[in-house]
Amino acid sequence: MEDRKAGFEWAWSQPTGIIGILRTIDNIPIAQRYMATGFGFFVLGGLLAALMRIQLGTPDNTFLDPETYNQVFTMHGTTMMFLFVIPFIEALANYMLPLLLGTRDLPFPRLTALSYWTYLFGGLLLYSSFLFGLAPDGGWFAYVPLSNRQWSPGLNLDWWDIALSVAEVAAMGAAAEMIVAVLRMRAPGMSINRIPVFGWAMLVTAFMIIFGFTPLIVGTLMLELDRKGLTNFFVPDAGGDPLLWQHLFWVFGHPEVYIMFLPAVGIVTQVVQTFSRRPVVSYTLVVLAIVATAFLSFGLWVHHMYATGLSPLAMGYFAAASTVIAIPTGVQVVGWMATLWSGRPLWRTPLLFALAGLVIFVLGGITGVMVASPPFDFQAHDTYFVVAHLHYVLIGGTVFPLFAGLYYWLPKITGRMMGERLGWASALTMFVGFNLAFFPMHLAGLAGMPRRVYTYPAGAGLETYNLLSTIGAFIFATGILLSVVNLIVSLRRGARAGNNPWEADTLEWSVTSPPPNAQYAKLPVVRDRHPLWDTQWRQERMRPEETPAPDQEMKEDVAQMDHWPTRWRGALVVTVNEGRPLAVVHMPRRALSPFIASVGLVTLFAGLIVDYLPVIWTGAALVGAAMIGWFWPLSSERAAMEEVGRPGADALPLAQYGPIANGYWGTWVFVLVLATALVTFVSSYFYLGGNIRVGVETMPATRAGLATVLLFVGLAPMFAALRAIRRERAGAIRVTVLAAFALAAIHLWLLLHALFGSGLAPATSGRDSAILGVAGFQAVVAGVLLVMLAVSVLWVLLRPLDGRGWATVWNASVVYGFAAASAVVAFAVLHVVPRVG
Amino acid sequence: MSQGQTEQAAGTAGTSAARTLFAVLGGAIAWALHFLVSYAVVAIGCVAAWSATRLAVAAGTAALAALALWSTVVAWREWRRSSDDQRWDAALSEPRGWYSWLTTVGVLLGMTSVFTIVLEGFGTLMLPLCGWNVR
Repeated sequence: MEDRKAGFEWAWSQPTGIIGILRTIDNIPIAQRYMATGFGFFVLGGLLAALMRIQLGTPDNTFLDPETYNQVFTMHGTTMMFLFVIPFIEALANYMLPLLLGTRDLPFPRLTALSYWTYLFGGLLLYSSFLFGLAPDGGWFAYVPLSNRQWSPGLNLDWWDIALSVAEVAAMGAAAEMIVAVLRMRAPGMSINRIPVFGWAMLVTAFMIIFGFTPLIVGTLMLELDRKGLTNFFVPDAGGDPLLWQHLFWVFGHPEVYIMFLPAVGIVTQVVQTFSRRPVVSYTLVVLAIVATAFLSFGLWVHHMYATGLSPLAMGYFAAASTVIAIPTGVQVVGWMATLWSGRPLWRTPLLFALAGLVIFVLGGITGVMVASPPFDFQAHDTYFVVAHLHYVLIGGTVFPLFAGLYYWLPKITGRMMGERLGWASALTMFVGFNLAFFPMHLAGLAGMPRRVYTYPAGAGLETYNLLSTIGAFIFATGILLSVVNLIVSLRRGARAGNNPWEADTLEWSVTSPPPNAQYAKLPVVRDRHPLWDTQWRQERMRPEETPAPDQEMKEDVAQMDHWPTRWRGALVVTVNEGRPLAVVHMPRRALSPFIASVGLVTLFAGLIVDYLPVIWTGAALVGAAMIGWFWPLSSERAAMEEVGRPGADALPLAQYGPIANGYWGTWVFVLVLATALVTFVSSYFYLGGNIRVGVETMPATRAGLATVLLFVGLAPMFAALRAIRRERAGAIRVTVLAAFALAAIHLWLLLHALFGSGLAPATSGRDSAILGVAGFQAVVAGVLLVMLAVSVLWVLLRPLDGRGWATVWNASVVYGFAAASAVVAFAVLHVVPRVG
Repeated sequence: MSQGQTEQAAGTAGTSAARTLFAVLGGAIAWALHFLVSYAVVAIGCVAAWSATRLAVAAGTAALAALALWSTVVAWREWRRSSDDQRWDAALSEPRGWYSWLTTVGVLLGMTSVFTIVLEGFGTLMLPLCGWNVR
């Protein structure tokens, strides 16, 4: 057993030295860096806010000139939304999810590292714009036509557009991690109804990121193409439409509010039930409210656009949805209140932060219902009333709960308790400062003060409100500073936390503080939604849920995983619903490729900002080299294949390919991203009046039709390849994969031929831009598919019976299916609808 | 296999993954479809000056409300089948087993979806279609 323990510890040890830091892919160190970087951006965003409040503290102030003020408010919003809140939540989830779920790491450790480095470099790229005096200045939502090339000719908006895309890549990566982690990597026995509320919140949030961020990525791509003069999606003179940008932005932007709020729901629920010493009242309703909020949040985006002249009925739909969403939110709030009411609350700092946030969020929710009503919104639109509302929602709904979460989980992360007195002082100071800063903004807004003006005249009746806001902002900042001091003092002199200082119920409190790198050498078996209260309840005969003891099979599976594997890193994969052990998954130990890929991506994107080809090609080459390293076969995986059997064996098989593999599930998440992008391009096409004869004239239908048919025909060998894999027939595998590759290659060639021979003129026509969007997207999908198939071909030619190659074939088959469906949609949209319509 | 797991397995016997998915998310997906289709039909109908826009939206609303209701009924039946005679209020507090829990969520989500579709449908009956002066 000692050898086994030593081997296990070696497998999970972290690399050391500077290169080691760059090669680390473990969730804990990466999450710590993520959190530190996120907090750094929070401080930067806060400093920008302080500059704004100094400027607005007195009327006719000249502390900032209008141009600088534009840059400051743009970067404040962009930083807080894209570089602080979302990444910080992802960081917290990266750290806590494996612990909460009872697993050893996130499913794709290299993607964890890639997300972090990309986020860091993307953020630095964005902030580097200050060095050149080219900071973005078009607002955090970059409305066109202001952000078009005509009205913003400098590079400021290119910086915003491109650097933001880098940060978006990071968010998408984190979302894929969270989805697969919550669905597949849980402790044995943690069935779907025993997932902690924070796990549910992060699962739903991750899906929202997929569906919300994708339209934003498509929108920013369109905006950058417009700014480069290549297309005219948003240029009205050429047939584009500026309102399309607003739709694309807000179909991301409003769910974004809930992308930030739902993780907070998870945090507050964990905090409230721990400090109330009882399970949250109606777990079922709280989870239901999270799911319902996610759905409804995608039906609110137009309430940001009431003033753009939409039809009354269309506004009615969005007004109804905007009002109805108060119901699930209310369910959550009532659930927490009922939990506190019926529990024995312990008034510790995390609970105080959670309650302070709750009060503020409810106030923001009430003004939210007000602005959901079009007649009121027409009056309050673009005034400080909206500024007050959004800060009440975001700071109350996210920042205070994040502080609650930090005070709650920092003892686990650092191993030291935070000071209670400083914690209370910080919470109360922040609460007072916040309300003093933002409540007067409601009144300033109602008095007619517009957003985004760098100053206001004396005698307009706005002086007192603004002065109070400025004083409040500095008090709020002092409260945050107190928490920073608390953290520093705690790290130096804080009391030892022990495993479970709060006597909490979830699995993370069962391991040491800070947790070991492998997290769970011996996997926990879950028999209840509150595993650490489970023992006590059993003694007191208070079990709310009737749960059977783990059966013999599960016991054997868990015993197999005890301090094992020892030559490679392995974790358990479970069934989605029941949480029964399904397979063992191999995980990489360390890798430099994520770091190099991030450097390459940022280099490439920086080159795109300045349109300098050598930099662009250098970046692309780095990304290409990193990808080769990424997909290069690992010797540790070879060891895993030697030790663990394929499906069908008696013991747990290796989750290497097919539906039991994490990579397969990750590919499905990727397909969800692609499907969302397709819907976005097609919607944009119709929005720009794409169902027009010009589509028929300019795109050769015969070639596009043939391309579509060939891709569909290619599905036959693709799925035959999967059958051949099941039967382990080397010859059939080779022939079928090669056939699928050949048909996909011809599809792409025909598609490109049709596209380049089409005579489309996107540089002068919005409608041609829309056509290019749909056709170009299909070409990109076909290109991605071809790369995946090329890797598959290499594998099956060299080693047709190797499970690692089979994984690429299985994953390619998923993308193949989507590409075929997407080709049909693109053909119907571009060639059938114009003839019928 | 223990007693509890036998009961759980009996609860899910004969149920396909597609049926479970429809029972749990069918209502919410119907709402999403209703929302997007209504918005698109109104937008296109106003641009193209279709005379039957309001009728089309109303028909779509009725159809998708029926779909959401159907999903709710399926969820309810699945819950009854898997709940082992548990009372509804007790199931809300703590359903027995993961399948009973999942279908409980399905029933509630379905009901919320039907309510939201009907609420949004009232707008179709009451609000001006394309401009404040046009009925």
